[in-house]
Amino acid sequence: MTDSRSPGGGFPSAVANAVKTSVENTFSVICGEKPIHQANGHDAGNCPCVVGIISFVGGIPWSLSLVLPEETAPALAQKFTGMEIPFDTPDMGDVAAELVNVLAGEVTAQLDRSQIKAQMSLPTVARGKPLELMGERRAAVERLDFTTKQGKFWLRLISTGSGQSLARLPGT
Amino acid sequence: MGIKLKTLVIDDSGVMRKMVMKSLTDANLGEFEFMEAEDGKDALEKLIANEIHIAFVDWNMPNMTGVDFVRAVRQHEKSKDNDPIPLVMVTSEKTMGKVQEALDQAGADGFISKPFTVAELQSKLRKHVDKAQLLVIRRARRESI
Repeated sequence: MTDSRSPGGGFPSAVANAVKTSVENTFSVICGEKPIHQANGHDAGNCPCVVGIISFVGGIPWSLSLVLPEETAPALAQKFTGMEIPFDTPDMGDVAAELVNVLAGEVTAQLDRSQIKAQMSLPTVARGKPLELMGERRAAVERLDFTTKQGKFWLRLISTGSGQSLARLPGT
Repeated sequence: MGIKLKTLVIDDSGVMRKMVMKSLTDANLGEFEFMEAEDGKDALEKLIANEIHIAFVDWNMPNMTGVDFVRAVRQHEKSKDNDPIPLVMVTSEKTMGKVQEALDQAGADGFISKPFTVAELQSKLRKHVDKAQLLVIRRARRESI
C-alpha cells in the first residue's frame, strides 16, 4: 500500500487520540484482548487489503479508513461475527464496513466527551492490491498501526480541510 | 414459554443481520421466526404487511434511519390502536444524546451498542422478549373471544 502524504501539517491530535482509544476499546471487546499500538509500523507490503471508510462532518471534517490485510481479515471477521468469512467474498466487504462503523460509533462517543461534535457518514468499502488511499493535496494525514493475535491492521486518518464530506449521510 | 416470536431484523449489512440472528439464537431467550429488512423503509413496509412481535433495529441506514423507523412504527400503532411491540436499537451509536433520542423521544424500548456479546444480549433482552411473548398471548386470547 502506498501513502499520499502532505508535507508538514498535523492531523488534530485530539481526534487521533480519540481514535487510538476507540480502537483499543472496540477491539478489546471483539478480540478478547487489547490491540497493541505499533509506533513505527509502516510495513504494508504488497498484500491485498479490504478497507472500510467513514467520513465525519462537524467541528473538524475528516475521514477514517480501517485497512485489513488479507492475512488478518478472515481471523478478525471470525472473532467479530462468529462466522467463517472468506477474504474474496462480498461478505468480507460487509465485515469491513461494519467494523469501521462500530469503531466510528466509539470514536464519536469519545469525541463527544471532549465536546467535539462529529456526525458520521454511512461506510464505504474498497479492495486493492496494493491499495492506495489518496487524499487532497494539502490534507493532514495520520497513520495508526496495531497488532492483535489475529494479525496486523492499520488506520489512516485524513483531515479533508474542505469543510465538506463527499460521503452519504444516514437517512439519505 | 414456547411461543415463536415473529422477529424483524433490520440492518443495511447482510453480515450484521446474520450476526444478530445467530446471537439471538445462541442467547437461548426463546424461539424466533426471523424476517430481514435492509433499511427503515423496507422494514416499515414489512411490518405493516406482516404480523411482527419484536424488532431489532440498526440506526444508520440509507433511505430511512432506524430511529425514524421507530417513530413511524409508533405513529402507525397509535393510528391503528395496536399494542406497541418491543423495538430494540442495535447500533454503533453510543452517545448519551443518541440514547436519549431513541428511548425518550422516538419511543424505542431498548438500546444495545455494537459490539455486543451473547451474555449482554441475555441480560438486556430478557424483559423485551418476555413482553413480546405476553403480547402474543394477549392477542391470541382476544381473538379467541
